[in-house]
Amino acid sequence: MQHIPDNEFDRLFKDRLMDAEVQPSEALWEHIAPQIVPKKKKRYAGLYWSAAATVLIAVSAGLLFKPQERIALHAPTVSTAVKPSSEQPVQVESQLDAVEETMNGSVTAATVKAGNDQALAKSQSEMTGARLMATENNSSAMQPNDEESHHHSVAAVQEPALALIQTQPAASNDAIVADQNDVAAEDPIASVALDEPAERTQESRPRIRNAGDLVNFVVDKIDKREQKFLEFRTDEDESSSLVAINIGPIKINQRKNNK
Amino acid sequence: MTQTYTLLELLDGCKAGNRKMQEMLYKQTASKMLAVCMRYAKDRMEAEDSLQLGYIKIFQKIMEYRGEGSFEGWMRRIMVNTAIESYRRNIRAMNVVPIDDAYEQPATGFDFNRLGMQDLMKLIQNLADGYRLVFNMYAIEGYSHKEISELLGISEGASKSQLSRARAILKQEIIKMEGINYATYTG
Repeated sequence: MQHIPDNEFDRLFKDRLMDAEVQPSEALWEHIAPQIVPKKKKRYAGLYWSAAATVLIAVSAGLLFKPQERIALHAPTVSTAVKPSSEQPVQVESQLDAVEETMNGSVTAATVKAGNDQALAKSQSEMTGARLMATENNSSAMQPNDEESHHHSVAAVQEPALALIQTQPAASNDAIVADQNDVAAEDPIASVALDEPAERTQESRPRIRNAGDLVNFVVDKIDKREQKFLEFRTDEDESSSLVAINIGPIKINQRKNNK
Repeated sequence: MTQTYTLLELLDGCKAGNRKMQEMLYKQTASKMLAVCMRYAKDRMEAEDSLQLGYIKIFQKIMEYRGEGSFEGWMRRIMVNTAIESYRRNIRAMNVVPIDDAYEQPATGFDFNRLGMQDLMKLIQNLADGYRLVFNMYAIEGYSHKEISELLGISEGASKSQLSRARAILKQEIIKMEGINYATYTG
């Protein structure tokens, strides 16, 4: 076989090697898979940029609005309550609407409790005491599972409000407004205590499907107004778009325009 | 037992960017492709590196496959081209074996039937880089000397002489192996 022709020699190799198989290492695909360039690269890049931009806006706006909220939380002092500042009538009115809503719902619950111990709602010193209680209960009401403490705090907050209305039955229209303003001033505590647990249960339901949902969720936590400083419209198909901005002088609301 | 797809089904899935189908295509063809890479590589590690690069190219270029010739043949060509590219990139000087050695004629005959696929693979892998490429491309892939000279950037004459040197070395090595086998059988 020493003088085997070249083409025959080649053929012997070809026949044995052409359809040969060698099993590759197990992990090799794991190295290949991440290196296959995804088709929709552009879209991902845009999504990350918009997410980064919205987070930046959310944080800066959050810092901007922070001082306002703090003032509101410390607002309920007796002097300001009796003499409401006439400088901000628009703001007071808008707050009144919100307060009346929360009042209607909770007054019935409160009167049941209050009926048992009416003596509590007589003097102003007791009122401040109740308010202290309210703030204490408020902190415990932050835990959404603790439903009992939630009920307590509702009752405690509403009692002083009722007391004011009861102790001044013969007041004029202006006086009633003053009363309501008092309640309005207490609004932050009352509404926080009332809204917080209810919101928790509601917000756990809508799923966070995309960056827009996430931003809406965070913004909702920071900004309690109806027109948020930033709002996204989110669809089922994982896309989201900016619909509303409300940062002081800059106000854009696509939804409003569409109506 | 995992479901098997025809190459055409896998091709369509891969063109659509379906990750699952990409993996299936790899799983069904990788062992054949690795055998191709092994022939062009010094060892298994180099072959697996080449296989990895080859598959990335296959998935990147899959839209370019228009159905001319078999899909498997197309994949093989990509593997071979990958091996050639890495050879040219490394610019490893073709380790020229002294001519005396290369042309030394075998003293005894050899029995080819005793040699298995792995033996032949080993023999090819042990060739110097330039010899290995030319022998693979000409003897197994069926390229002409003209094509080889273009792909490797060498003259046709160089291709021819490297092929004959490669054959001579292979014959020599086979006789050596036969001798070892003979020794183990008798001893």
